[in-house]
Amino acid sequence: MFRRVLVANRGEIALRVIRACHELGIETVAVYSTADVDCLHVQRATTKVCIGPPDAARSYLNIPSLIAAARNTGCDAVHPGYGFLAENAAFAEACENNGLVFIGPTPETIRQLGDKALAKQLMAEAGLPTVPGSEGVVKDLREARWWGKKLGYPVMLKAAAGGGGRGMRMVESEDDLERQYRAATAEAQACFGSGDLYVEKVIVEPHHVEVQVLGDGRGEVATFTERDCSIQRRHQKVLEETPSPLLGPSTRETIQRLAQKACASLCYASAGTIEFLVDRDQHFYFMEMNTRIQVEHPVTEMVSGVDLVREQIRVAAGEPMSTTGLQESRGHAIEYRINAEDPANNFLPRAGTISRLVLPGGPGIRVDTHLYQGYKVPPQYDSLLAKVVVWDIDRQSCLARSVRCLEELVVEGIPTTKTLHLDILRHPDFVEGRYSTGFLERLGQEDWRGEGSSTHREKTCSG
Amino acid sequence: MELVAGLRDCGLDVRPSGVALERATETFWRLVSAASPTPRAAGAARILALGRVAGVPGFVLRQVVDRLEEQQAGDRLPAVLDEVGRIQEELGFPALVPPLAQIVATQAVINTLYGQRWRVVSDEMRAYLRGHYGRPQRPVSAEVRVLALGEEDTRDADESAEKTAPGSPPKSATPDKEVVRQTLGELVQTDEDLLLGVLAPETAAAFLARRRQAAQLEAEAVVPDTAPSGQEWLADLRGLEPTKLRELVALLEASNVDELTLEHDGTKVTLRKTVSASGEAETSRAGVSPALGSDKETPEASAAAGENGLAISGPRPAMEAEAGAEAEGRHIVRATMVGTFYRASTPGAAPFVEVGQRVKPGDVLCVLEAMKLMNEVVSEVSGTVAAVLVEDGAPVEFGQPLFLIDLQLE
Repeated sequence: MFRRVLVANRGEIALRVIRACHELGIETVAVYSTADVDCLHVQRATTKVCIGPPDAARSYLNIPSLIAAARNTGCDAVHPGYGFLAENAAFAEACENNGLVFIGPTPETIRQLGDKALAKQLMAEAGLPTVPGSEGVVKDLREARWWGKKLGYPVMLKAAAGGGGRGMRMVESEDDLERQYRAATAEAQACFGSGDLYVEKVIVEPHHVEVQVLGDGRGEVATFTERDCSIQRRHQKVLEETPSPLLGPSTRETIQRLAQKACASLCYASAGTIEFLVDRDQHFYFMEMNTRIQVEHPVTEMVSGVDLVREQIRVAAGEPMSTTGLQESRGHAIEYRINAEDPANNFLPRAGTISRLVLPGGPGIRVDTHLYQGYKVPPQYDSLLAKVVVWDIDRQSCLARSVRCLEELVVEGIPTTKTLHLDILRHPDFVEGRYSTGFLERLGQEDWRGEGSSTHREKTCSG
Repeated sequence: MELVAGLRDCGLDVRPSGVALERATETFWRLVSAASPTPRAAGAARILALGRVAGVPGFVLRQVVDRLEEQQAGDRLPAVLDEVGRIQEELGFPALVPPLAQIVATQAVINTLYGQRWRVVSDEMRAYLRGHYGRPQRPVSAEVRVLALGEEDTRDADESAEKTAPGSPPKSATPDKEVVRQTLGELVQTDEDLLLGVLAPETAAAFLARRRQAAQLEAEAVVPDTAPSGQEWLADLRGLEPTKLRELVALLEASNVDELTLEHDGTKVTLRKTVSASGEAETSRAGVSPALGSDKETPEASAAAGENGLAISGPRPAMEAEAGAEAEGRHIVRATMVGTFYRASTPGAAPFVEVGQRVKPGDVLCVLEAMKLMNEVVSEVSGTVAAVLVEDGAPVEFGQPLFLIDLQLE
């Protein structure tokens, strides 16, 4: 087992990894930019290293600094968390070349699955149904036009090097194609370093459903009950629940078996998530695979009883997974992302000091956060402040408990998305489990208000 | 050594012996070894202890140690410190403050390594012996002057010395005190400061500026290879008696380190020295806390630790403390990345810069290595290297102070 792990991340996920390490008796090294001197993960780790200025490119994304920090502090492994360098094959490789175990999949796997067009191909070969679309990258506008005609509009232009909801453009009709194609290529080039695009049919009113997997790198794979992450604002997840209210038991089992088969064929190592689009009729299509631990992993931990981060560490250290195959789940869990965004102001992200913080408690409540009263939220990083995770024996109970729990939550000093969640929880469609990825956008457009729980009016949710 | 002079003035026959010095340092050495995480840290602490006993300030000690290490003569340190005492006596017991501290330290190293005392003499030492630093309270040894200056120069110096009274200012023109007050501005805080400006106009400005930072400098200097908490420690803290802890606390207070965390077998002791922005070291509360999962806490240890607070920590960006240094015309060169600090381009090569060296923008000061890539750190200012704050080969983090540069006085 590792003696010391460098946590190459910040905030709540760094804290999560630090906790898992300490439970295993592993020492931790926190890294921080000068803007994060007071961040909780820095205080909790065994030791800490300042790695750069606030700018992420020169700190949390600075591979030489991270490697040097790990080497200088005598670490034997590095955990990348999510975001930043978690899916950066070059970083995984740099770790390996410098005698550090990268707690994640192999650089090769990261590379393959990071190329969204290639990933689609690989998964199709493994037997997963994929969203109808161009098989691989389209060479030019002409080929894109051909596919548009074949698939039928609307279609989605997606960056091969993108992912996580970024680098996607919807094309409503053929007339619109040329303009969107040129814009998408330029954007993809600027953001991801590659202008390659592939074309996909747009699935109308889909659910975004994903399957958590865990592999030992030798063909053993554990799969978990799916998560439904359809509630999104501008393609960014707002809340996640497990199991999905949409899926029936047979679809549930099929989707997990296929996920297991695909990962076993890749000899997938560590944690990962396979994302699917599921239409009203429960047809599901592979969308992309994320080769990292995800933000919403706690809901799966709550229903399965498996500590996913601990498993990641064990697998990376060469130990066997504590479980394999299709995992059972018990009860229902929902995670609410509390972001430093102002729902009354088009979700404008805000920085500031947390003047008052009271965290909810009671049975089935879990809060993953780096917040503390008096903490100054720095403006340079993403706006996730806390994840409030609620478990109960069934969905209905879980919703009631969620309302109770969120009402207990007090975060003062900056506006947060707490009120947004309370609004969602009171919406009949959500309560019935009748929603898709367009839910929030429609919510914004309806003339509907929550029971005085938030100040947002129509259009505040519009994307 | 001042103590020795003072006692002599009182009519006591004081003979500082090398043996006594050695014994005192051995005591410290034993105590420090017991508390040190690695032999290297113990070695560094020992050097500090030796220096403290000899009355040589930390930053001067560092230069002495660097010089000796360059000559691969680190083991001669006790002899050099003895030599410091001897030279002090021969020079009439001037106080060991800058610039005399450096002058004396350098001469001590030279005298020790060359085997023949006063064979090689620095220009500044010559200036001192000629009386340019004023006349000390006790007479300068005549033999030494002859040895160092040669016959003629000694005669000249003697003549001018006869014309001046003991403790009088140097032979260069005595400036008007109002002029001095205007020139030195804020550096003059007391009448004594003003007097200094009048008595030693050439060096007063630099001295006054440096004096304000002396304590700060000590706080910023990094003890190499200080281990992070959680590593194996030698001390059995549960058995630590209050007196031992007090000794440890006193030793740390005298050192350049800020925070020490000792953890052993379920018990953890943290001693932390807080440095305020003005550079004065304040003692703060210490904590003796049970380590994770343990509830063993020795009441005596908490009581003793509670009285003083001291701590040894690893390098940290020190973002607040430098405000003082920079305001005084001293520039801090900081690490631009995480890596390993090297003073020379290759092992065994001459360092890029030495203390006292003039640098201008673009001059390479050191390299920081990470992932086998060498990154040069260049000076952004013109000035003189006042101090090297990190040991060669030590790991550094982003923002860590590496050098102090005295900015060129316009």
